[in-house]
Amino acid sequence: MKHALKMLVLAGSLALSLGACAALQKASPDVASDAIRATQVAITTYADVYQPAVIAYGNLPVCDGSTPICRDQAVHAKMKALDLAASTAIEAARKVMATNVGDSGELTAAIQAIMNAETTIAPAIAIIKR
Amino acid sequence: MKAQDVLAVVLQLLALFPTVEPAIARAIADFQKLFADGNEPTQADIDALLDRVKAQSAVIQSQPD
Repeated sequence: MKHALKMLVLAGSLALSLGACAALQKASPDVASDAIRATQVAITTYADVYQPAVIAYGNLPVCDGSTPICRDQAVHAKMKALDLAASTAIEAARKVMATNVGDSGELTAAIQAIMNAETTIAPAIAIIKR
Repeated sequence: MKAQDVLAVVLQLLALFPTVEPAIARAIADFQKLFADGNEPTQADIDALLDRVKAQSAVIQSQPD
């Protein structure tokens, strides 16, 4: 299961990187459409991989030295804070994604917030590997 | 690792499995659809995705620290 959890988050990170790069590198006259596509890939990764991993992590017992697979409270608190920031940024991008106009940085902010949230995965895995 | 530790791990894995396994399957299906040639997401697709982020975030925020 540790392997499954790690594969889940690693696959998500890879998909995020490849998906965003592919969408941004594509030479297309419809730049706005490509930006929305890149954002959609990042959000799909977030919803399919990161959030389920955080929910699973949050269901683990608190680390107290007696349980091999456990949840570090500080790491989990950071995950929650960054999820709140990412979810807020994603919601702010909803209108731009719907109308394909009026992007004043919402799409970039959403992708950045998702990448910030994903930085919490490595510390969580390190604690599970102990 | 002691026997009770092994049992604790097994019980925790069983508890996690229903959450993690469908998530992997869903991610594979979503990404196959996302990168399929000629696939253009509809507004309903985007709304459903963003609503799912919102719902999952509510679950995360309700978890104890």
